[in-house]
Amino acid sequence: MRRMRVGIYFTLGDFGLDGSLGILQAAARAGAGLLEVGLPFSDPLLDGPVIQAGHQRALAGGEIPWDDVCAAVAEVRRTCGGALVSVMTASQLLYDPVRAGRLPQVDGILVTDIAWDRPSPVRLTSPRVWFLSQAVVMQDSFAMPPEPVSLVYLTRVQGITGADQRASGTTAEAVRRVRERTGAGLWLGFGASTREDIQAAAGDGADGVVIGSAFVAEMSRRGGAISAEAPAGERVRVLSEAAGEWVDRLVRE
Amino acid sequence: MIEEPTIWQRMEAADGFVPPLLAPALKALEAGFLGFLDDAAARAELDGLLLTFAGRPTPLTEAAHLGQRWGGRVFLKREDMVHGGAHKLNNALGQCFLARYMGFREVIAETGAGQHGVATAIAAARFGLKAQVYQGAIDVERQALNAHRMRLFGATLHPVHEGSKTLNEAVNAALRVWVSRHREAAYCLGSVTGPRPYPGIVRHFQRVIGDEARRQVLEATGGLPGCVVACVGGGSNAAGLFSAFVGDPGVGMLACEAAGAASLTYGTMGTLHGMESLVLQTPERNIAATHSISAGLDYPGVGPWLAGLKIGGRMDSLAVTDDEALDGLEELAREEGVLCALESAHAVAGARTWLARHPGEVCVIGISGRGDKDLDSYLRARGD
Ligand SMILES: Cc1ncc(COP(=O)(O)O)c(C=O)c1O
Repeated sequence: MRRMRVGIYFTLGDFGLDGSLGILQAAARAGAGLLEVGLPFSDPLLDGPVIQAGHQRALAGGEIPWDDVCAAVAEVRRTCGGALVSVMTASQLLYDPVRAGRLPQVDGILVTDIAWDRPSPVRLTSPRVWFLSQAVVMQDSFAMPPEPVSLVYLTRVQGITGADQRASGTTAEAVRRVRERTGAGLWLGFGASTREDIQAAAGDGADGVVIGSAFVAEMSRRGGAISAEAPAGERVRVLSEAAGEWVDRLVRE
Repeated sequence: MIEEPTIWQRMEAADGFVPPLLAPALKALEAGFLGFLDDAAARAELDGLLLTFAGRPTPLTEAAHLGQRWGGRVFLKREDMVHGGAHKLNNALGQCFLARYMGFREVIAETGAGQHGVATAIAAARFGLKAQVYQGAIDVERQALNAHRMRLFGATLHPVHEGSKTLNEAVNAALRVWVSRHREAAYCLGSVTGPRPYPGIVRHFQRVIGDEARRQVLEATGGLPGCVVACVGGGSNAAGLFSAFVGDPGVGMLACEAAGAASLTYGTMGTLHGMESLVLQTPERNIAATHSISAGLDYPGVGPWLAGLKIGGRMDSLAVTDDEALDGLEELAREEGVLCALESAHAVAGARTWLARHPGEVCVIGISGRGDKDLDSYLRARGD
């Protein structure tokens, strides 16, 4: 069987830009195959409570200037060479083409609120991640991507993000139908959290699994346990270590 | 000859910004709605309910004292007299009818002031549907009467404690639930907002306000008014009233917003809740925090049809402060014996401003709802 890859989702700016950078870098060093970098937003519509809280933490100290967001994305790209890097965002943050044009190039951009069969109406500086739900894929009308795509992100469940949701029974068939239409790497996401989920995804024929809420929940638990008086550097160190351990445990067979 | 669509028609019909998880549900809804429009018997059944259950047609009342004071003729389109106390039932009855027509047994709804929640609860009770209503925790408190009413009608009320704890966050919460549950529950959206096909569906169910008002004002005055005035939160009562007059070039249209939530007046283009429209946003493109004394206007976006009217220069907008709205509520109550909702009071204030600039003319004010629900808020602001 093909070796399964594990990706993680984390919101930029959660525990500060330094904290989130440290976490993403440690995850990459521990062998994460995909870093799904969420851009902090006031109204993340597709996220369950855990990731919503991450966005709120990221914005709690005030908005993060777009130039700083872009610099952090570039830094992830520069320092995490072993992993694929994709940005996940709502269309609202890319609505202005001048701003959108400043986003550094990575392996893909996933815009959460663009229909699967519509070319991106917002400007993308990296190839598109084709975001699909199983219901869409199983429709008779499911067709070729509307524009070139670098990765496929297929939801495991028919719901928002959140840990411990059971995958839909049609996953293997959905993966097969996507593969007929594109050779891009196929990742399953939403609701995955355990080794068993990873094995099931392998059985379904995916290239990897993205873990979001379970990872963010662990980081927020570890981050919450750090004393408020601890120096910022100490905080980043503890979180990075925790991220590395967590990913390492899942990646090792 | 085929006419070019106007900017407001194009904006209303534009593709939504929606996650792929919702796309199949929205397609099914559009198909269901078109099927309903083709089904004369179904439409007749709903029209019958508007008469026998909702209490339509509502009167057009001349406000003679206001006319004297402001210098012109003033007419009130009395949606405060719709069953439930606001225009919201026109739409909720339509959408719950459609939900049942499409085979659903349950509906999800968001609400700000609670009027759409109440209307959905009423319609759901009428059609034997279960209703799940999401309302910001702050609004549950400031509109307590409506919260009690929803529960009495058998709806389950879910207070939303995230973020702003007002309408914007209630929409987020309801949409998130719908992403997970759209196979068993229909989403009954309360304004001309959200992704296609909602803006068009809601405006269709609300245009009865304008169709009646146009007929009534012609009968009362022998002509068309100089201006139609309505308050705008998401914009459903305004869109309903304005729809019948948009083709009359001589009729002005004035959208009255809460000054702290004035997306038509101060917003810029963006995407929110699946629609591409004027949105109040921060320099970093987050959705801005809003404020209004009236929960129903406390929303950072506006329906794309109205945004198109504003951008296209067919409609004006006016930002009305809390104080001006409270003055409007008092003046209407004292002079005419009508207690309007705080939302509608923004339109009263706007009409007064408009007549000051257009002395002697006729204006029609959309009184979108009655004010009983707002007495607590009123007393907190003005009581002594
Ligand atoms: C009485 C009344 N008027 C107006 C509104 C605002 O909604 P819309 O702009 O969709 O008419 C509300 C919303 O709750 C309301 O209750």
